[in-house]
Amino acid sequence: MPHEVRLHTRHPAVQALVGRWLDEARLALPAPVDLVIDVGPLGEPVPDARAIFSQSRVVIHSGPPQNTVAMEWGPGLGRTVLTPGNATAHVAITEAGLAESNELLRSFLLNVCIFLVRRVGLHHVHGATLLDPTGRGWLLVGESGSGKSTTTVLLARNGWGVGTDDIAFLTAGDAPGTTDMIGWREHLALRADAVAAMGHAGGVELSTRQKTGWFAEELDATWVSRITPEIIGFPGVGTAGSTSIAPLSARNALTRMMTCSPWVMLEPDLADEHLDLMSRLVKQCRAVEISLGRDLFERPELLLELLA
Amino acid sequence: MTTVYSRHADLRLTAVDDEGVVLHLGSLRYFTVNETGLTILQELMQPRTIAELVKAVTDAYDVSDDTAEQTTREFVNRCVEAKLLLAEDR
Repeated sequence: MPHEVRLHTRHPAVQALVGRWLDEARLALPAPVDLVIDVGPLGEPVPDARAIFSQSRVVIHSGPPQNTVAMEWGPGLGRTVLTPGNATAHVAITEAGLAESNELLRSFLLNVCIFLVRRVGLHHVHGATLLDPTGRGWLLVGESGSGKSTTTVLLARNGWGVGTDDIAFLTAGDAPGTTDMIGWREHLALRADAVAAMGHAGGVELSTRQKTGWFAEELDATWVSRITPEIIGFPGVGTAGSTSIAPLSARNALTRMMTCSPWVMLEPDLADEHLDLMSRLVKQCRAVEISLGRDLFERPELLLELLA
Repeated sequence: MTTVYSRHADLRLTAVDDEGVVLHLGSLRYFTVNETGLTILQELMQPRTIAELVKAVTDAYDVSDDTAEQTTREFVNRCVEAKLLLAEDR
């Protein structure tokens, strides 16, 4: 029986908002983790000289000597410190943080959850997870703008199962020495030009991200929590107009994946597991670089034909 | 006096397709190494001298001692510069 992120808060609005996100995410964990959220002043920041990552107004300090992960949203909007081996995150959010857009709050808490679930063996990759009509698992790895969300929506509308278009987690597979992917269910989000090219009506406006989103089910696709990838694709928007694929060595696939899974560098106790899962994954998969052309809009099945 | 080399505590290594991918957690950088480099870094699971590393290379590959020593020294020196390896005189 899978476990979940358990939310603990005394603040009704946080309970409603974050509780809904977590319910929608349907993240299946091998062990429970706890997210404790208090609303109130943060206090003075503690000076931290450790190496810094920064992402979406979230500043992350990590590494020795404390070996904690300290995260600040803001400045002054939210804060947490995660300790090694502890699957509970105590998060403080200010009233000003709550007054920010829901999407920014969500982005901060998503970062917290990404580090929290590392403690039970899930390691984040910017990637889309899919199940093709023949039952093969696919992982499309790429940063924002690579075309993976557009490709995911195209394929979702053409009989493919979908787990996520961006928030994927590496985890130990059921078969020894293999890696599976678990998807964080969320809106598959497209920019306006992709929506226009797709010609798909409806969806939810994700204003902060300037995108429109659909859950997989709203595209008549099946949502798939967990896949065992057989193919890793690294999409990019091509200039030739026609879609093409080229093989990638396992080593190149691994290094390409690392740029989309940078947390592998953080938390020495967890880096080995994270790197090992990525290494297993590239060994179990066929890796390809995908140059996306406009012809994929007319013929999404082209991807399978090119791979055959 | 002998120089003994060992892996830096921040080094993480994985082997793929007979090559290696190396992370340095302190500097948040990663490197790729060829098959010979992978052999040397795997041998450095335990602290080793240059002579021990050269022997590992000549055991693994059909190369002369001179070539193996030159290759090993160059590789080890680059790794020390990148803080992937520590050098200790004993």
